[in-house]
Amino acid sequence: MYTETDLRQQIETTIPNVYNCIVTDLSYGCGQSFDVVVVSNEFIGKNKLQRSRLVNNALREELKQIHAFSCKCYSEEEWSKIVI
Amino acid sequence: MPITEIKDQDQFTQLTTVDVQEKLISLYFYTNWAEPCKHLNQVYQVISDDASNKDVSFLTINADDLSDVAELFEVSSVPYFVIINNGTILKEFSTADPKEFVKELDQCKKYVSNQTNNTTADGEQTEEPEGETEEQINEKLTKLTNAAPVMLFMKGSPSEPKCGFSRQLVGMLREHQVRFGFFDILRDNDVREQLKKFSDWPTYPQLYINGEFQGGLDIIKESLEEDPDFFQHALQQ
Repeated sequence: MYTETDLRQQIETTIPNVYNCIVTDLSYGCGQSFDVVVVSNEFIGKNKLQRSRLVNNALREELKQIHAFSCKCYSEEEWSKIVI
Repeated sequence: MPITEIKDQDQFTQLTTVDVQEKLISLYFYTNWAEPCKHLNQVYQVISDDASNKDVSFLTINADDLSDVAELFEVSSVPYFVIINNGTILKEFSTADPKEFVKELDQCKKYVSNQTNNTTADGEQTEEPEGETEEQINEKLTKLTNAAPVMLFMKGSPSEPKCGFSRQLVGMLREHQVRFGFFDILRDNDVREQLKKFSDWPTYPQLYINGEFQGGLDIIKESLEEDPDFFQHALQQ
């Protein structure tokens, strides 16, 4: 079973230049359902598929046990527009 | 195997669920007024008598008389064929060319015999079943992902999704009036595992348009937010 911290650490150590990483456990405790937002300039110039694959690969082992997984990827510039 | 003409919906349900087991089912929708059907009626009979097709269940359905069944399969034109195995639609297409029907049927027969060989060969399904080389797997999945212009690989079926994400993606496709083929990955563990590798994507649902992997729910949702005509544009590409 994984926690929000597990996933966040795994993403931050695998993907370069992570500016922000928000992991939310939506599972009410069973650790099987997560919502993830990753902000990194590593995503610049990459399409949605390529971005998600970076995250999927970072969480390769974890995803085998997670039932529901939602992921959004932004560059710092895109993120600043969303936050404001 | 002789052709069975479907008379009512109960008989249809019986013949396509209870009586079939692992058999391949070929549905042929016709009408009395459509000219190409007259010729195909005879050809269909001949094909069904062929010894190589003895394990296939051939059904014919008058799309006018049994409009409920025809609607179920969204039959928009006749002659219309649907090939089913284990409750999953392998192919659905409209053609007046018997050769094309035979070609599609043969593909499905190969697919089914691969399935049964795999399960009988080693009893339990492994991640990479013996007897299927990587090339064969890739060929099979290329065909499967191209089975319809829009192909949804999901848990359950559009009418009975077995997962919230699959349900949402079906909803989006319907909302945008996109016709799509689907494959229930819960019914085929081989495809379920193989397609993850093929798409380089660890989760379901997965959406393919024109044989090209588009993404899962999040990506489709975001793409639609950016471009409400995303499906049309992807299809035109």
